[in-house]
Amino acid sequence: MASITRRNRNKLINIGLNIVLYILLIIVIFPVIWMVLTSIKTSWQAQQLPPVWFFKPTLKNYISLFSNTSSSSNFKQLLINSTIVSLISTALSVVFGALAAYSLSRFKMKHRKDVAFFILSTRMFPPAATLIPVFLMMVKLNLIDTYAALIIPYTAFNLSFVVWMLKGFFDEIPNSLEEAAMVDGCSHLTAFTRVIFPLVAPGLAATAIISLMFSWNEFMYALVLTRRYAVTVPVVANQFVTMYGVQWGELTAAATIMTAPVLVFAIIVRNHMIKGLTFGSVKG
Amino acid sequence: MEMKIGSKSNKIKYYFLVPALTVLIFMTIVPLIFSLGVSFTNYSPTRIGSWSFIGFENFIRTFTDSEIGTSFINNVIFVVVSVTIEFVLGMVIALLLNRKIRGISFIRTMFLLPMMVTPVAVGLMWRWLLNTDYGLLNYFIEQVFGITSINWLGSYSLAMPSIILVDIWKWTPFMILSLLAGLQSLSQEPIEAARIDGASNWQIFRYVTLPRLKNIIFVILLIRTIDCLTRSFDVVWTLTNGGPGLSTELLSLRIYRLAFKFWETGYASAVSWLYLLLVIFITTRFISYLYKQEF
Repeated sequence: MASITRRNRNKLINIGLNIVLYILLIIVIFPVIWMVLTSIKTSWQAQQLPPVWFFKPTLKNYISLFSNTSSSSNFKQLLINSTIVSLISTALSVVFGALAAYSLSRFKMKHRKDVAFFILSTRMFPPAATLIPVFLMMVKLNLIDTYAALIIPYTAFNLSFVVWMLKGFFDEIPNSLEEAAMVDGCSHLTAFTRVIFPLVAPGLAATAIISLMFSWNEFMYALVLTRRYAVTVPVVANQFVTMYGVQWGELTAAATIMTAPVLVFAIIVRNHMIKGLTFGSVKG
Repeated sequence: MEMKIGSKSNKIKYYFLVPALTVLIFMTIVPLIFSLGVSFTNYSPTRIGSWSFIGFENFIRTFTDSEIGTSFINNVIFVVVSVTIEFVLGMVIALLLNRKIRGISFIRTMFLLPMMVTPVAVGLMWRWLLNTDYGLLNYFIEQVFGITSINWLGSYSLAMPSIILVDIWKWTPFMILSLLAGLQSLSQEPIEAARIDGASNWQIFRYVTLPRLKNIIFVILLIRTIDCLTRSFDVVWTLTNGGPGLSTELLSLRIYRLAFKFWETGYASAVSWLYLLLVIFITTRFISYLYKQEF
């Protein structure tokens, strides 16, 4: 008798906890859903209260976003700029980072700890602290408003994360594997490309995707280092607030386009995200 | 012959580090030395050619500048309140979720979304939700409590709570997922043993679970503190741009404004150096901790 009531109580607790969980899930994803919904409403529907839940979706906001080709808000060009900058900076940080991580994971050398310490510490640097000198340097180098002005700092931003992440993956591969390959006559470099690379490829892909997301999302440096030709999506999406303060349709459409690739990527690398964000100290 | 191979691979291990270190040095050490130099001048791009060294004047000015003081206090409030609430909420929810749940991988993925959404988009979507006239939050509050037209982002008293609210929405899931991962990696035996000994749920949490989560808690609190301190520029810029007045002005926003709105490059460099020292002061402990773990 007592065990039956206890089982019932546990069941009730379970149901209660599940309800709490679903409410939490709704709170967590609702703002994103509301943004997408607003972007496919007409401006009249968007401002209706009580909110319109069922309506005929329209792509009007997206079309007007892309058809507005005035100088700095040519949305197609902004997407191209963002894509180029994120892809190149990611490629550079993954290649440079993989070499450094491999070296730190495998070779005994004098200042290994100091180098690892320095690389990790750059992750803690406040971006705002280097913003002014980087701006002055880019002015001197005549790079303001070019892709390079963003690619160089973004590569640096992602390096500490990439090195730390990949070092973890390399550490998991036993040393004996490349030793065997080198006994068979491979050089260090071919041992790396033929034996180790295929083994870390999945981790490498996840790391690349996460740094792609960081570069895509970056705002502060893009705001300061671009003017007109190399402007990325976040900078202009921001201008909607002042320029088109009341055009919530276009604004949410821009926010949706900006967010869509990131969310797809986040779903692909979901198993690596927590590990990546905590430098491997929490195994997601 | 053997010597040659040995010396070659000896060099190669350093070559591997060269590209990464070059980029990092040119984007951190070099700019910082440069800006340290600039911080002792009254340099401004608006009056090129007529700048001079002014010693510690910029640094002295920082400590007497009431706007810097306000931004500093705002920053402390923003970081302490956000991170504390995120941690407590995250812990409670992680404990609730720490059991067998159907579809846990789906739930985990959903919880990842807020922290990955482009920060500028986060700002924009919350501006829309918090809009005084058409915002959904005000609509719900009106339905439930009958209070109308709350000016979330435009009033002095509510702007700071609003940006904290958005930060909590964005980052509590990080706390939940990290703590949940930590909870699920713990072995169940000590908990069972404590239960057999008659410990209450609170006692088990306080004396058995919590001590074993110490490392994870330390790491995630410091990561969140540093990120909240150094990487909140985009969301806050989009939500309030530091306003109204200076009520949500953070140090990073202040540095941006000093350097690129008022073009006081020398002064802004001094402020950003002090800001860097503040962050270094907080992070040294964290790095030395991680460092001990890894090597």
